[in-house]
Amino acid sequence: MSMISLRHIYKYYDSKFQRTFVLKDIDLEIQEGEFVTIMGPSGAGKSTLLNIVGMLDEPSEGEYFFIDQHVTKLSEKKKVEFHRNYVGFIFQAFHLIDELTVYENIETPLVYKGMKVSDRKSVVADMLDRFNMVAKKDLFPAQLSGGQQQLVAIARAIAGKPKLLLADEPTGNLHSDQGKQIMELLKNLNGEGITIIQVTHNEEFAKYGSRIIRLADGLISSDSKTK
Amino acid sequence: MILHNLKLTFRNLLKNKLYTTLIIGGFSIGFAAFILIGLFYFTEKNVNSGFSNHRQIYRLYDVKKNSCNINYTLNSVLATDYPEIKNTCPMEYYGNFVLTAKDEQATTSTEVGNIISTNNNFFDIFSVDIVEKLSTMPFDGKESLVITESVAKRLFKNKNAIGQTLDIGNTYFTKSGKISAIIKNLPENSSFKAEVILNSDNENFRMSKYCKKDNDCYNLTNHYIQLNEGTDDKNFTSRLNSTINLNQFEVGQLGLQKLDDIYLSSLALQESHNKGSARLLNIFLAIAVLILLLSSINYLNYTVSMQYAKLKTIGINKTNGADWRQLIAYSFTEVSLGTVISVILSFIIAFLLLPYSEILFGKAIHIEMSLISNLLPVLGTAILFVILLNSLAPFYLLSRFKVTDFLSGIRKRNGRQIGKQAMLTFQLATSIALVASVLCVFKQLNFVKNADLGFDKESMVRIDVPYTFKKQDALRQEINKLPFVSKSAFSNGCPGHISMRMGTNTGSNDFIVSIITIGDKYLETMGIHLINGREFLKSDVNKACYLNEAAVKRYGFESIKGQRFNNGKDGGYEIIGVTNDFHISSFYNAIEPVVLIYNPDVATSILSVKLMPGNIGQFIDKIKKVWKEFLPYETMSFTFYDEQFQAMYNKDDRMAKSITFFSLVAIILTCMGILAQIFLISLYRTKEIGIRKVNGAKLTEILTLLNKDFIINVFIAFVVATPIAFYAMNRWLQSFAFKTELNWWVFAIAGLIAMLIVMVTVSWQSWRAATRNPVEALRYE
Amino acid sequence: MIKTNNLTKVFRTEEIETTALNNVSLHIKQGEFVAIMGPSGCGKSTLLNIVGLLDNPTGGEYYFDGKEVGQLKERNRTMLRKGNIGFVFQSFNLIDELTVYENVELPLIYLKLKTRERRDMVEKVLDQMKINHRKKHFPQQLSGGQQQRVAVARAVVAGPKLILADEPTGNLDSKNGIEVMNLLTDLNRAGTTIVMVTHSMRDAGYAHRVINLFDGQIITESSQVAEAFV
Repeated sequence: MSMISLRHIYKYYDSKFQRTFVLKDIDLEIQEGEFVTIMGPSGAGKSTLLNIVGMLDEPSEGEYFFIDQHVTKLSEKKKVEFHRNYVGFIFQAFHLIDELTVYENIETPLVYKGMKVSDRKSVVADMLDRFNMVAKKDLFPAQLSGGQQQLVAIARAIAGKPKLLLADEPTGNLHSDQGKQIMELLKNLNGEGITIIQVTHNEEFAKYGSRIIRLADGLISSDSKTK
Repeated sequence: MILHNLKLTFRNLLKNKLYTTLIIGGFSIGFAAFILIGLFYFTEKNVNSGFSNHRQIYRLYDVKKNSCNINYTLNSVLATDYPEIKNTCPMEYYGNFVLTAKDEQATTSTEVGNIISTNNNFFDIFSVDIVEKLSTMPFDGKESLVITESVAKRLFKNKNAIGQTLDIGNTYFTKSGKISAIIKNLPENSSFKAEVILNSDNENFRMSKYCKKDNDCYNLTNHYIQLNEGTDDKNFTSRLNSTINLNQFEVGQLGLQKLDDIYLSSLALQESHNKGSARLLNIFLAIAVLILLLSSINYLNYTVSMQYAKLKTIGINKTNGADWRQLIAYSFTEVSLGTVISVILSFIIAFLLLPYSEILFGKAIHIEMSLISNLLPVLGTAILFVILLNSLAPFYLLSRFKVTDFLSGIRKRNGRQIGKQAMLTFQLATSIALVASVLCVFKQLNFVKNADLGFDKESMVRIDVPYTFKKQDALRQEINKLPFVSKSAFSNGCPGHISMRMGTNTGSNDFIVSIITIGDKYLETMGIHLINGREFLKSDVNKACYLNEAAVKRYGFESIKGQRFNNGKDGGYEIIGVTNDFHISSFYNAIEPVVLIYNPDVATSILSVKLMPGNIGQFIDKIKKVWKEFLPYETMSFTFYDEQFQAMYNKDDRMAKSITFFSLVAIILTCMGILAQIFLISLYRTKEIGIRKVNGAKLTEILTLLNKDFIINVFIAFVVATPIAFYAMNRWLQSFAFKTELNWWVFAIAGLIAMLIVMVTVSWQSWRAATRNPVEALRYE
Repeated sequence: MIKTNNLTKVFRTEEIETTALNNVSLHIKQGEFVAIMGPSGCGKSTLLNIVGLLDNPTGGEYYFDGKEVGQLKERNRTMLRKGNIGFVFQSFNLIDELTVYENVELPLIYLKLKTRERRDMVEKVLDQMKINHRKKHFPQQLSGGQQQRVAVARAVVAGPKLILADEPTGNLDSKNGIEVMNLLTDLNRAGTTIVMVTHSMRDAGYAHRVINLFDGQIITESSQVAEAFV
């Protein structure tokens, strides 16, 4: 049983005169534990596909099964449950909350989950320790470098122990050194069992994954294992 | 969760200090104004509610004669024949006399302006708090009178006042009485005052008399009744009218007026109570609502804009597992906190401004329980309204956008813009309308105060001479000798003070004329011209008179030759001349018909003196010296004609000041709203401004771009506001018989002021954004 | 055309003072295609901004076309920039509320050209960039590569003699990136001076000369013959 199963997924936008397709007839199976990279030129539909997998968006046609559950058109309530328990996100622009400290940012998903203060404390402490950020826990995002911000974002994403990690151009705003650092981290996390799907332009970083899916004009043009 | 929300709210508020200060400060100012007006409104509505029985107390009036002065003897009938009447008392006001109370022992005297004459029932009906009394009833015998604690203190300091004798008098008469009780001061917020209360059982203590023929006289008084609870006043009124012998008491038809209604009533009765203006009250109410709306709009704009600024945060929180309820809870917390802070601030501001309520409203506001219990529900509702309205904004936003929209930063401008534009236009329209109204009011006031009165009011003094004084001619001659005195003349009555009116006895065309009895050189002194006819001769004394033009018109005379003024007394007076029209009262009234009767022997109470230009203060002192030679024990009571006429508009002056003050509040609120909007706009248009600059835009071109949007709003606001202001001002001017023109340029100025304010505000704030290095603007991105 | 003498730029915040440029002296001739390279934070963009008259140096001199312009006020810098310098940014910097056509037209509006004149120039450049078919669309409706083409179109529409490009291919994939570099090369061949900041070796290969910056100072300069990148 695949973790993620997309069948005949279409995504289009209708305007007055035309229908613009972003994704056309996508069929995709992703197993638990894989590290998949989605690549393609700008406008090929990579981010849209990722959003659909992450239930931030709904397909116009087709079906999506997540761990054998039919989740194509899920109610708000169930979506929230999905986000709280199964999925973590990291973005190119980090998307940390500027008014919260490092500690509070990492804590955010746990607060929404309704975790008790004492439990939260230990989870966040764990994360800070692992990412070597204990000394920075009271700083605000503005006081950190790009690489450090992305680390915090990743800590936040995995604090709730999700099964799936979705990364949209995670190294896009970072220098190559920082980028490498992040990719190494993701590889480690994947080694620990988290399924990772990333979108990137960077050929070199794509190689950290085990599988590369290329999109072009809304269609899958190739799907192969990394050499 | 709540702690988390509060933490975040505070940090957000502190982050945009300028913006937060603007909005919360602005709302506080607006809400404070709302509170103040609310206090004034309920103070006015609650007049007379200090008397515990106020809901059952009524005043009788004659519906046909429009008067509260009714035959005294009606009182006994009311007291005995009607079981529905729990209690009744008469009440006569000596309010217009200035009486002096003297204590013979130590001869202390004090002036008391509020004296009434009534019987013992008064104290029960009006729930008067009796501090000390001689016997069981406050009035103990026909010589009794009752005084308040404060009067007792003024006269007797700490000595016992009970049993002491009191003289009440003025230049014309003196009455005596014995203090039989001391009472607490009557409630402050009432339509009448009473500091000394005389026993009306004593016929000597009744002032008003009406005589039909020489010996057929009776006293007049107001009648107050307290009905039993549950009595229907309408039914009772008809029963009263059908059972009382109206002819016996010379009453046309009886009506009942609630004590609660007296103060704001629009009934034009002959009466002596303090009156407020229901119309003015409604104007203030409208202003209060407008200010609340303006403040709420600002706050709403703030909330919505803040939401947009936090769209990204909402998206992030959603991807991190926040559900709908948790997001709303945060927004609600934020809104409530902001509102609570504002409201607390506004209470503080209102409290600080309370001592100035006299200047603002013409009446000092005292905080009492009843006031608070009236106002609090209104305030609570308003606050709830604001919180709910502002909490809806996040609902609205959340429903319109997907998470991915938030994260990619798409800002759908169109929908929200229309709402925002509409609100801004409303604010501008309100400001324009208010400014235009203020300008109109001041224009009218300026007009009435400076207009030609038809007589010479410059440096013209009016001196009141007691009519017990008999040496009028000598006094006048001495005054005329003074080098700075141009001319002088005596009269009874004058412009601004008419003491006698008579009917013309012209049958179907019967009308009332005002009488001024004049002495020699009157027209010359007053600068009134004789248009037609001849001057008075010695033979005309008490036989001839002048009419003014209005009187001639009213009579309908083609020519005055051979016409007479028949006032019913010995054949009347021959009309020998016509004077130009002149004002005897305020510009509210049309020019009234006046008859000037020539009778120097009798015209002795008012001396009008025309002074030459110079040091008026010194001149008055010198006249006082002359006065002292003739009347050493009498202070010279004088006034200036121009001041006297200007004083007729005191109420309007006050209204003008109040409206100006609140208009300023409204304008400030609008400015704050504009500032806040432009602050945000320049914030999120920073990138666009930077790009345009990089591509060659000059500073002026950027400012024009930003100003353009707002200027359109000003135009629309102007178009909307002008007809409304025009209509309102027209209505107000109708109450004046003489009014200034409503010129178009008044409204144009209002529009220009609004335009200027907008441009200055917009440019000032966007100056910074427009002059930054493009590099900084783009680095922001 | 461009000459700097001991150019220095220091940024001051409340707590820290950062020296972004430290005594940079360089000389760029008309018609050259120069790449400025170096690791992140070494001052490349700062240098570009000063050269592009978007910022003032803290010290040193800057001569543009022989005139000292380093201390000019913003007003005067704007006048100088207009029609002479075109900019291409990494994040495109198009105005979201304007269409493609209106975005490209922007510099011409501030040059106060008449409508017909503007139309001719805009149409010409849109054709050149092969983006005419999208001229009524908004930036959000275009892909990254297309947006950058619009940005380049805007940069060249007024026929400036100098184009400054800050990481022009940073947000693009390889195919689009190559396309943009080819565009720039064509413009350079037609006579436009180009100064480009990049940290892509591939992009630098298109330039005549590479200036390497590190920690705000020039460490090396190398010239190379432009090669097509394979």
